[in-house]
Amino acid sequence: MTVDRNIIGRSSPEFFCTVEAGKIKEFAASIGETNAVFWTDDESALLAPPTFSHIFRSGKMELLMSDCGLDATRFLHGEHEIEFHRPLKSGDRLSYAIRVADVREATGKRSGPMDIIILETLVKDDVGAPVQTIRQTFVAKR
Amino acid sequence: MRDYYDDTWIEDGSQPIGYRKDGWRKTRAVPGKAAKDLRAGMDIPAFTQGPVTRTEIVKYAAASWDFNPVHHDETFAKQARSGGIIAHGMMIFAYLGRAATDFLGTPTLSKLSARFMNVTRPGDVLKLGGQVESVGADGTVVLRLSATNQKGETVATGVAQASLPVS
Repeated sequence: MTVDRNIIGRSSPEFFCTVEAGKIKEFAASIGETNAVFWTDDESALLAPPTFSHIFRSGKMELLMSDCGLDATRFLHGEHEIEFHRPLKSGDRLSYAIRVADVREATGKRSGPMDIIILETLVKDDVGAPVQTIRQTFVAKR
Repeated sequence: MRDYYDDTWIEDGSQPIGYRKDGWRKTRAVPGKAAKDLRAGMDIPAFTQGPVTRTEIVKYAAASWDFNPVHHDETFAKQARSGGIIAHGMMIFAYLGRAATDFLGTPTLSKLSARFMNVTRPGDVLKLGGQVESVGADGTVVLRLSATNQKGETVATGVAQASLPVS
């Protein structure tokens, strides 16, 4: 089954969330992070670890794939790239949508023909300024 | 004021051995670095993560709200393509991020990316490390990162970029 290229440009609805201090610390604990900047009790100074933005987006990539008529369980998460436009911190009020940026085919040396889907998320703050751009590559064997 | 998100429950392999007696999580200050302290080709001091336990994977699932059962439900995971519980790729990505922010001495990166190559199962011991790829005159530093397991397989590779003070 090849993936229909017409899904390029399809988008999730817009989602909203607030970055909470306790969630940052819970995340820091779960990855064995002891750097004091991710643990300060001064909430206005508390920064989120670099990969924190995954926590409010998890599961939504799979939903978008299902909305595009794809079986999300066929796809493996191959690559993940985060571009930071500014630090993410406690109290940030965010909005974001996930968009199908590209659909490609490739042939692996060992695995044969594969479908590749690239999803892009632009995370913005409450005045619309960019916070992070996230690109994720999902790969499925035919 | 102290926070209660603390690693009080500890495990040794698959055997829980009880609560930690020394109380609250100890945090550490990470000293900052300047671009002049770094040279292309310099090694990032490696650190060991693991053995990865089911408890750690479940903690990451809860913290990240990623409840794909392949990460916590052995019965489900045995029937799945993975053939058993595997860690979240994003958990390994978080370790790569930690390698970068610890080495660079800044929590603020401009880019971080990862490529996932092999799965991590409970019991695996990961070695995190890498090298300085380039140091620009403007303070832009690029790192190459990697996570390898006890069998010598590369679990993930990554790239981090940050703008450090020049001196």
